[in-house]
Amino acid sequence: MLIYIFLMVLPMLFFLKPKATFIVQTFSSLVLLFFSAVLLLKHEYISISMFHSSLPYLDFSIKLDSLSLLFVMIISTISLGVSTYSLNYVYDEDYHHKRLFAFIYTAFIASLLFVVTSFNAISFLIFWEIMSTLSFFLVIYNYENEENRQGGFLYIFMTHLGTAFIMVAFILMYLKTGSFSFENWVHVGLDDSTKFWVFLCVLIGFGTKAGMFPLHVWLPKAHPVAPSNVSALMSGVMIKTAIYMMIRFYFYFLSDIPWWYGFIVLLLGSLSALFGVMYALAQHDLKRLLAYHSIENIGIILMGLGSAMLFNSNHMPLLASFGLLAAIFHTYNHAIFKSLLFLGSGATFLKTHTKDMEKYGGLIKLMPYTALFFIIGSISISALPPFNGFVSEWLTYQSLLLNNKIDINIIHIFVPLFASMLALTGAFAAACFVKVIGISFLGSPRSDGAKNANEVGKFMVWGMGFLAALCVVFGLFPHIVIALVAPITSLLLGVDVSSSTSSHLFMISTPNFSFGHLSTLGLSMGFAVGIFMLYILIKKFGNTKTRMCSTWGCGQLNNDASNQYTASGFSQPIRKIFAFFYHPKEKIYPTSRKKKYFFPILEYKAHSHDGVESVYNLVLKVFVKSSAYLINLIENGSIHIYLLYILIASIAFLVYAVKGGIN
Amino acid sequence: MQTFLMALLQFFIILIISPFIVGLMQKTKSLVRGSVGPCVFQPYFNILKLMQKEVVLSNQSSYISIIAPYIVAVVPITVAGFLPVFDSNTLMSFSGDIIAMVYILALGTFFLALFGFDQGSSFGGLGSSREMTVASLAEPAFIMVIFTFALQSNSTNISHIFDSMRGDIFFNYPVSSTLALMALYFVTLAEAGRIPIDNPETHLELTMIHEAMILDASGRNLALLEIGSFVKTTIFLTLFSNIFMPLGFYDTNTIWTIGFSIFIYFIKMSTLGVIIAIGELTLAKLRYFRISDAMMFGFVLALISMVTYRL
Repeated sequence: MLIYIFLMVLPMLFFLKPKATFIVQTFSSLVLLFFSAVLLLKHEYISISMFHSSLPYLDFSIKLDSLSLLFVMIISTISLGVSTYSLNYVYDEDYHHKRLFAFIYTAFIASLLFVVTSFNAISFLIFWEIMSTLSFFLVIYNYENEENRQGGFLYIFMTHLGTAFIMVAFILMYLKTGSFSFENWVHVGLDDSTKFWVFLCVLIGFGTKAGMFPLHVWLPKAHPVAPSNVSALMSGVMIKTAIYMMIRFYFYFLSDIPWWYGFIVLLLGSLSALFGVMYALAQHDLKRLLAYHSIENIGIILMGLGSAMLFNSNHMPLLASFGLLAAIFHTYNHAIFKSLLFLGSGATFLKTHTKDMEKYGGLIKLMPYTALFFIIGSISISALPPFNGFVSEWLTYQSLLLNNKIDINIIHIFVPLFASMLALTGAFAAACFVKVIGISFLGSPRSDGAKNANEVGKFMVWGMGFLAALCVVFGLFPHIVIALVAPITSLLLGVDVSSSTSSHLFMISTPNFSFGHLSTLGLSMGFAVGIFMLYILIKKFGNTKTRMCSTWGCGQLNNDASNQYTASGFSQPIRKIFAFFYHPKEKIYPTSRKKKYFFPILEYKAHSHDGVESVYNLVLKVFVKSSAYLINLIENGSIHIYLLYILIASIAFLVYAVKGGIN
Repeated sequence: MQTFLMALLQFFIILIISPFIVGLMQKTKSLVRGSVGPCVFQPYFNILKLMQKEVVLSNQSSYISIIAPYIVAVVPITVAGFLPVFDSNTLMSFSGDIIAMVYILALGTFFLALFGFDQGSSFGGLGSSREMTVASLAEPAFIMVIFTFALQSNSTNISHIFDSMRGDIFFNYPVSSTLALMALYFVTLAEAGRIPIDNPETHLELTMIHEAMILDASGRNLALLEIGSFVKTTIFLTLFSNIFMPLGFYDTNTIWTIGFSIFIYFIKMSTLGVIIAIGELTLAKLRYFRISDAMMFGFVLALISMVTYRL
């Protein structure tokens, strides 16, 4: 099955012709998607050992089991949409060095694919580093901007911090098993303390990459500054590779985990979800807002994962498979709608030349397709029926509710609390996307950029349309994803999740059918029939005339766009209610000193801090300050002191040499 | 076939009585205040009248203004298909459970808020902002209440909860159920937009939430939005009276007992409507930034109810 590897690296060969690269990338993604789906459904898994090097431990082995295949599917789905989009985007945005961009872009996708298929710790780490470095290059692609450089450096710093923890986890596993091959790590029996350290290192290491609270600080800085197609890949896919490894470790490598591991993951998940969405609400930079929503959704995925771990540690494989289904389903969904939204933000950025939502407005009339796809993506991410985000969030709720079957008091009390945090998260997400759509797409244009916007090129529309269509299809027919996840649960837990959850046609249910079930198709039929009835009713008995008129301005005649509500104004009540969380700084001051008292032109500034970020800043400040102090103490600029160092060093070496010579 | 007919009957009962309940609340308030007030059937006439008027749309508006009223109306109507009036076989029970119901209602709120933005007036945006904030704050308490009842009856299916609550669950966990009902009362006030959270009677920008969003709606659009809000109020009262506190008469053996069950349901709903109306009269509307306290209180009640159920 060398075809697989060939397909992964094929687009890289075309980097001299950027357009060809994206076309080839699109087709190879399509083929990969198709192949992976077929292999997954036919339960055929491939394993190859590619290359044994003469260096010790280093061999590149690749294995496509069901878990890898599903993540290959996720990556190729997103890459299919994003590469189509890039065909127009890279040219319209007019990046310099298009060949370089195309090369890094395809190499990044290839490295993603290799990360989820590597079956050896060393080769995994190599591809993991390639992936991190290439994405760093893509983040700082427009390196002229100060913001990009700062975001990039924070990213590369945090990601290496994470990699250090991953290495520790791998070394611990190696010490216990004597092998770097993942084959030998499967369900390895570890003693309790090693297990705990492996758990912790994996959680911190991969949690950093995933953007888990409180390790998320790099994410809202790095993702927004990258080119939008790259943000889509990073938020949609790259952070999911961390989820992939977490699933591998917690369900495949470690066995007999204590229950509180799952509880910690659940706790961190719910905190990430809530904090992510609360920070998102306060943003008015569209891409940064979306980046914070990635943190939120990673939290929701971790909640599903955590509840599955709880079940698994209590030996309830059937329910564990249900929790895992919720987590993986949400992973797939988030990949789809988050990349869709990032692509949509890229399209608006391209046409309005600003990322600030306050300067958009009325785009639904100028960019109808982009707006439609963006609204579909927003409904999905807000977990509203009948689209895909709703289905996975419903599954997460159900798995939390089923957690009550575990007979531990702490779980009984805390899990409903987590569920209500999830409810708050969902409601805030909906509020946030009402803000995004209402401010940027509805109303009238707030700036010249928004006034002169027009629809983006056809490939961009197709790319977004493909992902939007998937949102609808996965929402209405969740059985597709359940069928794809079923081989994973049989691999990891020995239970086929599809037989217990999709026993009825067009209806998904909890493992115990009478506990709860859902049919999004039925729901949307209900909606359709209802709307049709209402329409007929109005047609028959009502008045169908419509008159256009200008908006009522309370008697004032100047209906200019600045009369509209703003994004900061929208989230102000929430900022005020949760002031203990945001620490908002609000200030109103006149713009010119002359007109201070009579009809002054006032400016309003609101700013809220990411509390975690300031903690990081504080720690780093103390660290940098103390190390600078130490350096200053040692290197104090006096040449006499340096000469003294040289003298001491030479004497020390001489003494060592003499001693060593004696021995 | 018979079950289908009964399901259809229940569905239409909820739809038909919903304007009446709202009219009854208005009438009660007027009578207590000492005025005569409009007829209890006035909301029906209002809807008919509005349907016959033409729509005036802002020239800033997009297709959202055209589709949003339909969605806002159809969402509570779909949810009405979930709820049992006297029999556990309901029209839409195959397609979702009580958690899905919460999110379906949220879909309506989402489009209502978008409708508020679509005219590009500051009123609409203001209403949307307030509505989404209040809806967000009510959500955790709502889910907590639902979790409590779902755990008590060991199912999230509405019909199943209805059946088992009708048994003796309510009396098995009296403290927990009462606290959960109190929490649900707060959620109902918030979701249905009643005093002390929102005042459905005023059009002052200082006080209004729901009315601000639909300020630019007219004609059939306004009729649809009104239908949506009437049915939503009725849904919450039905949840209150029929799912979580099913003290009543439910018998589907003969046509007479069915009629009697419907009558009892009608009495219960009217009583609840009157209680809420009198509650509204005794309270002043809360300052906007105090709403979070009320919602927090509701959430704490729900939490205590969950803990008492567990202990």
